[in-house]
Amino acid sequence: MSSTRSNKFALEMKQIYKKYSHKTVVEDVSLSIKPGEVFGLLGPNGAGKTTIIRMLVGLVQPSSGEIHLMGCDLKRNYEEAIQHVGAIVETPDFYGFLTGYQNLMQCKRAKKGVSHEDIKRAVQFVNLEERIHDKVSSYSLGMKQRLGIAQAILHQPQLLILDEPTNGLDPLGMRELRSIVQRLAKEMNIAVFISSHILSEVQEICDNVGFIKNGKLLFVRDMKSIEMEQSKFRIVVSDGQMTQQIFEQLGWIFDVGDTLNSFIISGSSDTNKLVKELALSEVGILRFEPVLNTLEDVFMETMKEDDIHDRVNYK
Amino acid sequence: MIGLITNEMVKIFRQLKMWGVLGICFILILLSGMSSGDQTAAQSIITLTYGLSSFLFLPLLVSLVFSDSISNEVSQGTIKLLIVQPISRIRIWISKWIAGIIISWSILFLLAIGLYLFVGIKNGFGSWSSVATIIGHGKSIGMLTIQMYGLQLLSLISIVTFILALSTFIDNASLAFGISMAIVISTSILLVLAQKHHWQALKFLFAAQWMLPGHLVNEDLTSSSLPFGLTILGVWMVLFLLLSLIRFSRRDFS
Repeated sequence: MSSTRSNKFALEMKQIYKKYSHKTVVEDVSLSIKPGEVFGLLGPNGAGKTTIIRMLVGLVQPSSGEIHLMGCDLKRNYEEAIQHVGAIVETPDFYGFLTGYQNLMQCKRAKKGVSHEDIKRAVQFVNLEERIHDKVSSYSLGMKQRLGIAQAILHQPQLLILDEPTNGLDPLGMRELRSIVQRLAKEMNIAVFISSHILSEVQEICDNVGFIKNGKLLFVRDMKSIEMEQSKFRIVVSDGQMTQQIFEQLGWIFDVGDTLNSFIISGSSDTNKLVKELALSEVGILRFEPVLNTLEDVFMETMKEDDIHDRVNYK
Repeated sequence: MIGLITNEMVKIFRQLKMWGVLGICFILILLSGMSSGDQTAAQSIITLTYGLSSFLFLPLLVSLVFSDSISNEVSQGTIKLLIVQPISRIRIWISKWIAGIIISWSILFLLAIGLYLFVGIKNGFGSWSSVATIIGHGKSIGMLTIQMYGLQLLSLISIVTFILALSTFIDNASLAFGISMAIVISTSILLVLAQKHHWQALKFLFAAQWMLPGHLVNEDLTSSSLPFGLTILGVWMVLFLLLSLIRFSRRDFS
């Protein structure tokens, strides 16, 4: 039985290609996600994120390559593989002429072993009890998004796929969504696959991120290493002029911060020495803090490098 | 599978247009009831199904209800909700097909029962065992009714299959509706011309054979026998089924 295969990964993609007659939309993408892991797929619009997600849920068939969901081959064993997945693809589309509850009933009837209790629990989980018996055509986008999540977790899937889940959400809705995703991953050990083109939105919830551009997965990194790597310190002092002299005496390279009294120095600096020197010169240290790399930094750098490559190749 | 068929029925009955179709049925019952002269109820429902089949009224109703059955899901994006469920695409298509057959049959029964009651109250119900005088050759009214409605139900399966096939291949709901209308209407015009000019080729058209009950009263416009008509319908239906299932299970929804 395919389900008895090792379920080390909730999702495994092996050398996935998607070619349309004249162009390759997804090229040699391989990645894997463990249970309980939140994975963010990042890239500009048109990079191939949605195509990848559509392949994961069976809407689009890969030209070549394999997709395994909880160890089941998606192509050969579709019904078994897909039952481990809950998903929202692009916008959460529902039947507008039905109520939220009736829409969930549609999903219940299509799945095995979903009870009325499950519906109730899912609706509670996304906080939609009050409006669940209203027609979906009267819902706001945020409510549809929540109904989408309720629909996706109805059957307690092992892998949750969310395509641009923060699209059209207000800050409050975004915060709610983040807390929902974190609860699902950490409390229920569900693997979550999120795509986004807005980096800061997924930064807080992802364990790992992959960057995709022109259909190619450029790299996969864990968030902690991105945040810490090449980290810098910001130091804010009471006497900027004096501090600058000290840096020059020490021969350190420094950046001027956003005020005259703040400086940015490399994370590998000998901070003990600096503190001693500053104390000797009676310069007060008002702040001393790490400056974290944001996804934006990493993203922009990669994209820039890639552009340069493109240009070089072009010539 | 029953759950899936229920889903499709719920979707159809919750849409406004289903009420439009019921309204049309109601008007049809009223009009044909009023113009039933002194026919008994039993006689009048034979007239009804004969009339329905020769004017291709049922294909119009069916395409009104189902021509957007798949194309609407694609254009509204709700197809994603269906595909993501642990159901094969073939089962999704088949459940739509079965729901279509059930609903189109129900429409036919609704028309027949409605008319039977209306005329029955107006003119009396009459006997099923008396010989049919208006059309048919000496059969009892009961027997003729069973045969006619049996054939009508068969041709409804073919109608639903064709319209669902159109909806499978054409993503634009109103285009699918337009094309099915055009085919239905042009076939019925062609048939009238064919009868005048003795065109034989038309009898191979699926839409021409939707008038199956006509065979029972020897007024078949296509001048072909009943087994021939059934064969033509069967062949076309298998073709539509296969093409639709292949298309629906292989295509990308992007």
